[in-house]
Amino acid sequence: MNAVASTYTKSIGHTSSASRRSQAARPSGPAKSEDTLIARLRRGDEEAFDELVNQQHGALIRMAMGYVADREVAEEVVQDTWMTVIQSLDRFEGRSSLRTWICGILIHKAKDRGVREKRHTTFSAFESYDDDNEEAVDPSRFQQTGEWAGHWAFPPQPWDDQTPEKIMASQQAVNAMQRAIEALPATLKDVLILRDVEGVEAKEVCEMLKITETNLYVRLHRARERVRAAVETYLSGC
Amino acid sequence: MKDHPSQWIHSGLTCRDLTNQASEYLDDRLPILTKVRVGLHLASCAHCRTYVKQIDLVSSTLRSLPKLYPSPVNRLCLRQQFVASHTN
Repeated sequence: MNAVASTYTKSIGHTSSASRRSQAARPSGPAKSEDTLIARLRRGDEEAFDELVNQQHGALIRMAMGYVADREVAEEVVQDTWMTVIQSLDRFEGRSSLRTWICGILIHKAKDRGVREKRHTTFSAFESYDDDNEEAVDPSRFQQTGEWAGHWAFPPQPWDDQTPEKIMASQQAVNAMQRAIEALPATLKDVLILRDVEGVEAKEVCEMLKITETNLYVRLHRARERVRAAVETYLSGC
Repeated sequence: MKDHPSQWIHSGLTCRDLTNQASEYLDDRLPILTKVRVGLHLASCAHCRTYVKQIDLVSSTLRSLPKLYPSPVNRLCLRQQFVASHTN
């Protein structure tokens, strides 16, 4: 982290989540451990398969929910994805990571299911994500004119003493976050789930979703802001 | 540096500009000059510090969301399929 970022992190009193994720996402020899996992899977090791399901199932369900109407359908799409993974494992060539490959299968199936069941597809799935004019934060929260145009008119109020643990301890706060995530269009939901919920490195998320890093951060920040706004609304009502 | 609007101008960024770059800043993805400008702005703007801190907190909290697993029936079905694929 550079000097400016260090100054900032000192001023807010903790290490940013990104650097924590970055540190956490550097196991020794990840490629080697994936090779080992694939070898075990190809030998028919049931424990290896359980490990894989435990690692990836949550991300697959949450991503599928961006394309289909409800959790039940999402479960079906993910189950179908796992069946394809089992049947196709011998044909996996390792040109991408195993996770990228599985997510690719899921997205293809979920999109297909969403299109086939149009009546069930949420409107949010069709929401534009590449509108260059769309800003993450509601523009009405900033001064519109005058010397301080573009500066806060309605600034965020500090969330005193809030920590991830305290937020997670409140079922209502968790529900508010879950609802905000569920309401995201699929294009925003995918990046938020992969990057923040699952902690996938930015480069791998770009590879999975076939988007540029610039596009990734536009989407990611819009998604984070919508969840932040949901927490803000929840906390202001407490 | 004290918090004061007059200092924000030195960064060349408005608060609105800064909010759009908060995630790239937190993930350390900004070009060095932009990063310096964001750092300067944050050093003098308590509102933007609050905003960036909240985005960081949300991002950290999302990592703690409960894990999701298949139902026991679906897991059993997958396991049987996996075993069958290796016995054929």
